[in-house]
Formats: sequence, structure tokens, C-alpha cells
Amino acid sequence: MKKLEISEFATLVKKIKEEVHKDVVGQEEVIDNVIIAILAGGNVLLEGVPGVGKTRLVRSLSQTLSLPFSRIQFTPDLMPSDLIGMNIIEKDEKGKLNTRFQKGPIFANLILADEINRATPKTQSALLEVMQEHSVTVSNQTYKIDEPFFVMATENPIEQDGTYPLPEAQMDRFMFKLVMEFPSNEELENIVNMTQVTMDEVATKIIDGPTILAMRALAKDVPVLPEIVTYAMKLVSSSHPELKDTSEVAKKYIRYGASPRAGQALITTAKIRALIEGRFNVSYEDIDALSYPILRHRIKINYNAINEHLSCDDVIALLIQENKKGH
Amino acid sequence: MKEEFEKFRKKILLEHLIKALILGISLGAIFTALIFSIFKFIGIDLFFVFYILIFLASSAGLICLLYFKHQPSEKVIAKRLDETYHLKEKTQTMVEYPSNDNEILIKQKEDAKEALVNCDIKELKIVIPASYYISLAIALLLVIGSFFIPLNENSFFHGDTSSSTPVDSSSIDTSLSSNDSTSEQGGEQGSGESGDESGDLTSGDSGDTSETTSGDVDSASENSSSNSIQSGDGDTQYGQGHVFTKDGFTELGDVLDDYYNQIVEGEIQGNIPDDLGDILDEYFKSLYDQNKNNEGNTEIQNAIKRRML
Repeated sequence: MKKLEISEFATLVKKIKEEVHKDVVGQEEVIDNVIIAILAGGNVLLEGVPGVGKTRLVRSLSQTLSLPFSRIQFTPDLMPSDLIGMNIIEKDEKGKLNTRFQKGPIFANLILADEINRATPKTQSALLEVMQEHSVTVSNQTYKIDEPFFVMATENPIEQDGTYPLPEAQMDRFMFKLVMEFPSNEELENIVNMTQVTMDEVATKIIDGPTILAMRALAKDVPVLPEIVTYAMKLVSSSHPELKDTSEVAKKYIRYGASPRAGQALITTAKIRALIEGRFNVSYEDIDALSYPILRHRIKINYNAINEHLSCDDVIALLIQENKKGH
Repeated sequence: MKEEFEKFRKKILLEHLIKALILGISLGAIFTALIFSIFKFIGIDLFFVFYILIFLASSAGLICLLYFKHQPSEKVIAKRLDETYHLKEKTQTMVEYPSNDNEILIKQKEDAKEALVNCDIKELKIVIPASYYISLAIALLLVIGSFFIPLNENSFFHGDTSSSTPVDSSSIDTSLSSNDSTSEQGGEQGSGESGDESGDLTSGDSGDTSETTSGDVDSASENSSSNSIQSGDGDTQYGQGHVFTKDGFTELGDVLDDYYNQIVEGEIQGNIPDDLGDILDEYFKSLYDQNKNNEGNTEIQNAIKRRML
């Protein structure tokens, strides 16, 4: 594996951000979190209204990371075999019939699953194995996918007709759910000016796959205080209303709590965030900041919260507040 | 790492020492006040120095206990530094992972060290919570309050169980019934034969005598069963109802005063023979002579003096 100096970590991330900003205006937090997810080996669900640059962001990233990239447009008639591939029968030179596995578009390093909620649950489920285990099984044959592997899915929050909401198991496999806000007036002007020059992504290669893996390996060594791990796990468990020692917020506003994957994601991504911030240790601040993208798609708020016009992020903020008091 | 951390550690230990001092003194004072109150309640009156010694010993013990037993660990100090200087858990991580197993840990220590170097020690304030001052104030109030607890004189430990017993005053009081007997006694008193003994006051009808030498004042009160002075015809009793305690010199002085007043009243009413006044004068003079060198019986001395004057 490629050896990387610690001092290079923050520099490389800074360069990636600069390159991505050549194609995407604003969206600082989203870009930061997408980079964190990529370095942590997690999948990202991007939510935003049409035209805010979801697809453009992913395409720009693929160029910066110089990774094989597949874009899959999810539609209701998309079949699992269209994603993962299938066994085809072909004749060899001697005229003998053989089966050969034809790899689907999923066999890439960076997957853009555009409008993922438009596909049927059957097709969505085809992604479960590949997202979690980075492998595909067809006819009892398992095929490993080259590392690094990420799925970046997009969904449109306003168009619900003809869509299939992602099941909980699918949602849980996304490390982050990032919400791309509508740009400000100033950002809109910049977007227009930028696209007048060219509509193509202009970002250039900064790192490659092995470098990403080296960065990921380096981040694993970042020390985390046991108290911070406890704090993060308490935050996750306090989102469960059914647990005995849960938070008041969960009892009042939450229907379903976050899964253990949320805890894993909190610690893994906190290490990367610390390195990006130029620190060599995880802070409580990292956990708090990353709680929003990690928990917002994993917890389900109840009618009380909706009735009080509280969003999922508001409930997470209350959870953090209550967790801090008890810590 | 050590040097950077040590200067902050020293300051936090100083704060800990101050806290231990305040809390130790408070608890020591409360303990002393408690002992003081208990001793007073059970009637033991000890020298004040004793209580000071209890206070010093208990305070010193508690200060040492609080200081050494609850001395802040490096982790606690690191947490305080992180919170004070907003170091984002750098110091805590440095303390938690002392080894240099990998490059990141080495870098982390360097980072924490650099952060600590840039921290101004003056920003680390010695903070004593208000609860410490409150505990000290409460302790002082308890100490002051304990001074106002009266000594339980009825207690067994007070040393005199007779304090609550009516005194047999036969040894100091006498029923005066006849001129003859009193003049006879007066003659004896006047002759000064009694020497260092006080004159005997003999009751006319019973013929009982009581020795009221100064040395026996206490025993007199102990043994007295009736502190009445009866008039010659036996109609009037004087000085009844007085209760003595072993060291109740005040009461005894008051009784003597009371007796004197009753005798004067009796003389005016003609119930007491004329020469009894002279006899009593002699008696009091004798008492005074015997008691003048006896420190502590000042109340009796004063009472005798008043009679003599």
C-alpha cells in the first residue's frame, strides 16, 4: 500500500476542495462531508431540488479522484441485472457454448445512482450487498469490486409521484445523507457566469485510488479518547425511544432510533474530520458536527415533532444538547 | 511534554490545596463544634485549649486526606486545560496515549505541546466554587453557635449529682429558737475560741449544731437537708427552698445574703433575740477570715463582706 505522510493529508484534501470548487459553487459543507465520506469508505445520499449541482458535484469528484466512474439513471423499469450484470451465453472459437459474467455498471469505483428513489424496491435491493460488502453475487459466484468503492445516490425531495421510498436497510447503508440547499443570489450569479464559459467539468486529477486507500489507512490511527467514544455511542443510543435509559427528546419526538452503523460512522468520520482540520485527535466538536449527516436519515421523527414543526435536524440538535448535559 | 504540562499542573494543584484547606478547615470546625456541643450537653467542661487542639488535629487530618486522596489526576488536569483554552481535547488525548507507537501519536503530542506553549497560564484562574465559601460560613456559624449552648449542669458527667437534690442545710442553717442557746453560742463565738473554725449555730430546740467552716462550705451544701431559719417561736421559717450545687458559690452567696436579710427583718419584727445579730456578726467575721484566702469562693466572701459592712 502507498505510504502517505500525515502532513500531506490536509494538503491533499484542500487541493481536492479547490478543484471541486472550480465546478461547484458554494455548498461548502456538502463538499467537505462528501470528501470525508469518500475517505471513510462510506456511501452518500445527496438530497436536493433539481439543478443544485448534485450530479455535477459527483462528476467533478470523479475527475479529481481519477476513479472509474459510472452513472446509473434509476428508473422504474431498471432491473437488478442492469446494475450488477448477468451471465451471458456465448460461443467460443470452437463453437462450444459457455457462460460468461458480463459486469454491470456497478463495477466501477465511483457510482452515481441518480434519482435512486425512482427504481423499484427490487432494483434498490440489488445495491444492498454491493454497498455494504463491496461485492456482487450472481449465480452463487461472488465478484469483488475494486477498492475504493463508493455509491453516491441522489434523490429529489419534492417529486414523490412514481417514486419508491428507500427502505430502512438501504438508508442505513448510506454513511451520510447530505442536503444540498438552494444557492444564494451571489452563488447563482457565479453559477451562471461559470457555465457561460463551459458546461463541462474542469476539475483535474489530484489523487488516485491507492492514495485514497492510504489516506483511509492513515486516518484509522488517529487517537480517540474513550470518553468521546462513550459520548458518541450515548448519542446514538439516546435516539432510541424504546430503550430504558433513553433521552427525553427521543421519547417525545423520535419514532425509530439510529442503528449501530451510525456509531461506527461517527467515530470513523470523526477521525478524518480531525485530520482535515489539522488536528491529530478526535474532538467532541467532530462528533457533534457529524451527527447531522449521520443521523438525519437514520432516525424517524414522530407526529409530535411534525406537529411542532421540528425537522430531523432540529431533533438531532436537541439530542446533542441533552447528551451534552448528561456528559 | 512534561515541562509544558507541569506549570499548569502546579497551578491546578495550588487550587486543589486551597480547596482542601477551606474544606478541611470547614469540616474540622464543624467537627470541633460538634464535640464542643456534645461535651457541653453531657456536662463536661474542658479547657478551651483542648478544643483548639481538636480543631487543629481534625483540620490537619482532613486537609491531608482531601489533598492527597482527591488529588486531581493528569487526566483531570488535562480536561481542565482543554476546557479552559479550548484545545479540542488535545491535552486529554496526549495524556491518554502516552506511548509513541505510531507517527500520528508523535504528531499529536507535538501538536498538543505546541498548543500548550501558546497558552497563557494567567488565563487559568484559580476557581473556588461558592459552595466552599458557604461551607466555611456554615462551619463558622456552627462554631459560634456552639458557644451559646449552656453547660448541662444536671448531667452525670458534670461531676455533682447532688445539684438537683434539695440541700440539707442543717449544717449551715440553724433554727433559732431560744435566747439562751443563742447567747451561749454567741458567747462562744465572741470569745474567739473557735479559732479557725466558724462559730457553731445551735438551734434552740433541737440542739443540733452545724459546722460551717470555709472548707466545709461545699460539704455543708451537700449535707444540708433543710435551709430554713426558724424563728424563736417556730412560726416563721427562713431561707427555705434554696437549692445548692457543689460549685454553686453564687447560690450560696445569695443564700447567705438572703439569710442576712431575713435576720434583719426578724430583728425588726422582734422575732429574733437582740444578741443574735451580734452572734451572726461574729459568725460572718469568722467565715470571712477563713475564706479570704480561699480563691474561688469569692461569692461567699462578698456575701460575708456585705454582712460585715
